[in-house]
Amino acid sequence: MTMNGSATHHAGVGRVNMADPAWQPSSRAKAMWALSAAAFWVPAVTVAFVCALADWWPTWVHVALIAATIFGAIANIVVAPLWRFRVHRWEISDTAIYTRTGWWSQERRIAPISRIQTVDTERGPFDQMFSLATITVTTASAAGALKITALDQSVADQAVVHLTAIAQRNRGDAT
Amino acid sequence: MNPHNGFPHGGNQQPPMHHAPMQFPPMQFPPADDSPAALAHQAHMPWQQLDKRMIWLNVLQSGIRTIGAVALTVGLAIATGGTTGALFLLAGVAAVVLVVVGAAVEWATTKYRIGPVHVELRRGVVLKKLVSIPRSRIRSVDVKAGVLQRILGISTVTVGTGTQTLLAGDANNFVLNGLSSDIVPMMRAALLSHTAAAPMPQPAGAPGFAASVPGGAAVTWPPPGQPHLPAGAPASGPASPIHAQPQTGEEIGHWKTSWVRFAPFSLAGVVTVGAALGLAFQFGVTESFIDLDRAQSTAESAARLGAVTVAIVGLLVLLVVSSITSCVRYLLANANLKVIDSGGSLDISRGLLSTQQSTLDLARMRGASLVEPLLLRMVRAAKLNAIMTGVGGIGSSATMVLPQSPVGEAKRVMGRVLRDPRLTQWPLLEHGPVARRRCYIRALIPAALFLGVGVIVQFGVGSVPIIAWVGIAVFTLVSLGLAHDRYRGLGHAVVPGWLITRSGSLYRTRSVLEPRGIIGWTVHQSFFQRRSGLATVTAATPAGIGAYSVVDIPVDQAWELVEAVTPGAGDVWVRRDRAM
Repeated sequence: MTMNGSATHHAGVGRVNMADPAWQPSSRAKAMWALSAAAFWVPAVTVAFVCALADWWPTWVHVALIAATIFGAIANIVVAPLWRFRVHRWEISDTAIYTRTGWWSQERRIAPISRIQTVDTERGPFDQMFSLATITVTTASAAGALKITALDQSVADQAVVHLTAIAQRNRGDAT
Repeated sequence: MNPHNGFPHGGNQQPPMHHAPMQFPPMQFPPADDSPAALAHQAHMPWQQLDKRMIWLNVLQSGIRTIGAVALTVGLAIATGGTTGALFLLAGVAAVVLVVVGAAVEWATTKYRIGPVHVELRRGVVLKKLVSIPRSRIRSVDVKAGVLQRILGISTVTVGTGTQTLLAGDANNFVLNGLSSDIVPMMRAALLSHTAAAPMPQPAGAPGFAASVPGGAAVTWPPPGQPHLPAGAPASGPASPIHAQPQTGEEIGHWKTSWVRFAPFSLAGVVTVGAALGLAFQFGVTESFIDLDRAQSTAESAARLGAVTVAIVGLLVLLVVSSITSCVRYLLANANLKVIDSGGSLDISRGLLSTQQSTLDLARMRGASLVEPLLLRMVRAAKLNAIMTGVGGIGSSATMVLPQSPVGEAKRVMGRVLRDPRLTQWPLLEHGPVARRRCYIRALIPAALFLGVGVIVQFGVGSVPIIAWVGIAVFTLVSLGLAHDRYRGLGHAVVPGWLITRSGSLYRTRSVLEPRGIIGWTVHQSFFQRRSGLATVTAATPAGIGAYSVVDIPVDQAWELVEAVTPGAGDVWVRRDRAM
């Protein structure tokens, strides 16, 4: 049973917009994203060329394979880091944490700090190369984790301290 | 704390099948109490043991599970004879002894006690383990009895805290694997008494659930006139008898045998039929169609027609068999289903041969989902799940309230469970023409791909059989139908105190979620959604499947929806335009 006509606005709330989160990832993020993409795509292109040299399949298959891997490599090594850097934003207020992530697909996530269960920092091999860190904030919902990627290590450490301090203030079982 | 612990004695809906002589000392299940005196008392309480019949159960189960191996051993022993045969026989005997000893050791080393402060379970020989749960943390007590268990008169009791999903075999689970069925109802009532004292807060404006009781057939046990107050019940306040007695309640859902007719309309059935169709096409139908065009010889044609007949008959047989299987499975799992609303919890019992009783604590309930897959909708049926914090998850049967049942009945029970019948038929907002267009485009992409491949093959490689074109045409029509149905299913509504969202066609759900269960929001836009100005808004919650989405609403309404459901969720980033 649906009402006729297109969706109407939710009564009594008025037009609501959301400002963007203010803070950017580290300026080294682009290089890190490019390198980690290259770690997969450069071997992929190489394999495609090796296959072509070995001439295992009909020519058009090789051409298609090389074209596809080169396209994937450019998209992920060149386009994605630049695009991602324009999209990725994060901000922590006194009561909530808000992120914007993605590039081709984008999403914004918000969670009240009172619902935070754990705050982890992780440093993958590429993060370590560029002195970066990723913060993962989990809530009681499997669908509610927030990730803030490619932060300066010092910024990440400060953020974690800040988050845990606020989270300490309002205890509860966060469900 | 009141001195007498008045729990209904043997107040079970179904009397135990087997009345064994009382093997236990008169048991006490003390009321929950965490005073220092109670703590001291707890430390001196004797440990209880499981019922001895559990040993027989383990032996029988092992026997059934390994019946093949047993037969093989005996067979080999007889066949080989001589020394080798004797060795085989010896190995078999050793295995049996091992199983019996193992079961006996498990029985001897498993001890439990139901104290006023904690329930405790001790087990293990080499790796000793003590599991202890504070009484106040107990959220569910599930009782299961398989066929063998029912014959032996014992049940398995699982105590849940509702904070984590129970992984089968996890050493931290509180599972009493074999208690006399006689004592189980008493124990269950005692362990759950505190949950009944905390009923779910009713949303403002919701009509009370005392209205519209069909037939007024309330189950009353124990009979009125006997004051049975559970421990921890508030002395003041509107303590209606329903709130006060865990075993008493109103039956809000009752299974009917005729519901079994919905069982075959499941995805499993479709997959079976689909696979059969695929096979038929692979091996018979297509070939005969293609070659019939050429009609080489009548004899060959006749043979091919025979193949077609065989394929069709095979398909029909498969359909019948899979339908019967689904019906049997449905009956085994769901026969005699009863949903009892005891104010603070829903008590659900079901099962034909093995019975299952589960309790859904309403304090942990955050809403309900009406599940109406396309096939079930065609026969006007639906399923009903509760959205529970910390119980179950995706595909879990632990939160099922009603299995496949008439849609009217499912909606009625949903209204009762949510304490507001209006929620089940609240008009939903449509998502608009752009969302409709997106439904159609997405549904038609696979058809367009098939068409493209067909065209390329036709003009590049060779001819495409006519049957393939027919197939593409049918597929396109089906896709269009699904797109239409998908858009029709799309909708949401924000009701004071609730978020209602519906989506899907082949698998459609209408979920009614309480905002207090929402602990975060995601506004997701794929590339194409951004181009068409749509977004999918997802409420994250620790309950149910964890994420409930409002699919493809205009992006400028996304945060409006968020703020309408959970005011303040946008925190300091909310910007409001002038118009109010």
